[in-house]
Amino acid sequence: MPALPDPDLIALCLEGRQEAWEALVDRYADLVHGIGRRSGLDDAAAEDLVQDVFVLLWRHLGRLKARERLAGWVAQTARREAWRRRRRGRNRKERDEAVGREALRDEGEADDPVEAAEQRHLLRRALATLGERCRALLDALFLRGLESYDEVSSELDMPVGSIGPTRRRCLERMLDALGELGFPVDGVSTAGGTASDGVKATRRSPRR
Amino acid sequence: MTRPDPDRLLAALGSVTRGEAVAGPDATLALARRLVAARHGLAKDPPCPASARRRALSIFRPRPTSWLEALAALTFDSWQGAAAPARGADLERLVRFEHAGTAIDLQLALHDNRGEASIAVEGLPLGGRVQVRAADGRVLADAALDERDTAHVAWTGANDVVFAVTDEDGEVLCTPPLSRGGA
Repeated sequence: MPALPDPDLIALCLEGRQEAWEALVDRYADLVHGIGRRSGLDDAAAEDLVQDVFVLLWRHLGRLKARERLAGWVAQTARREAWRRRRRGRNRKERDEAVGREALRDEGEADDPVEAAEQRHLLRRALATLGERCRALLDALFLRGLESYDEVSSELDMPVGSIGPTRRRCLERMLDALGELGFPVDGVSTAGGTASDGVKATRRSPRR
Repeated sequence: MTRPDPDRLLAALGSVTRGEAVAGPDATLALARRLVAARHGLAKDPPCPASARRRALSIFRPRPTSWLEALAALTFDSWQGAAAPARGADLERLVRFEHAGTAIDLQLALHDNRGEASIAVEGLPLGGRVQVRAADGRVLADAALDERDTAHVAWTGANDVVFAVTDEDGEVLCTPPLSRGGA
């Protein structure tokens, strides 16, 4: 059931299937909590926000018009409810501190903080479809930019010769998953592009 | 939808992560920036605590699918033990109805052709409204539940009334007809 698309889970919830609701909570709790924390809410308020948003989701399940766009609805609702909670802050100082902590999006993310949150969520789901080794390989790339095959080989205990093909295959699988989930991977130039794309030719040849 | 070339995307991802990529309109580079930013954002977000997940899970309860299923059952009536002569008097009466984890408590004062009630609802995911209806379906009173899921209503025009709890999706709980004579 955790692998079912959102519209199917919603339909099952409306039929009274508790495990479908559990799957939705598993899928979206991190997204809501993350938005709460980025909105400047403290731990307790972020937990309350999770409950608020799922209560609203429960109430609106039967009336959601675009069930396949549930991630966007959840992100938008979480942001709005977080803002309301902040506004109800007990005093001006707390409100000001909360606003000062606000960091709804990171550098390089989509301009719209809701869209940025949704993209983080979709990437989390896409990575979750991959095996442990694939995730580790891609994380080495995403988080540390590891290019030296020796470094990757040492860190992940993989033969140097398998790193290139495996990482390429993992990336393709992640792109497949992202595409299915609706992450914007379109409009990207096809193979054979030139060096005029703005990416510096910095890729090092793997040391073998 | 055009799929990105994995080799070019790999190169772009590495460049973006190391801060080597220069700005440009290229779509592969833009995708690489989105992916790297999203992954870094994920790494910063703490996971949702188990306690918050449990609270979210507890919200679920099957919805009543029809009026009949939503009909609450009487679980307590302070009049049940009252002496017969007192049953017609203008006395306050406490009644509790339950259905599928939802309950409605009524503190009733029923008079001839009018009445008033303090209402407390338990087990609703969120507040809603309470309606007092006559036997013919007319709405005699309507009040929103407050933040504590309580309300007070007064009405005139009927001796037998039904209390119905509604939310935005419709009716979630309804009592059988209540009158001065019994539940």
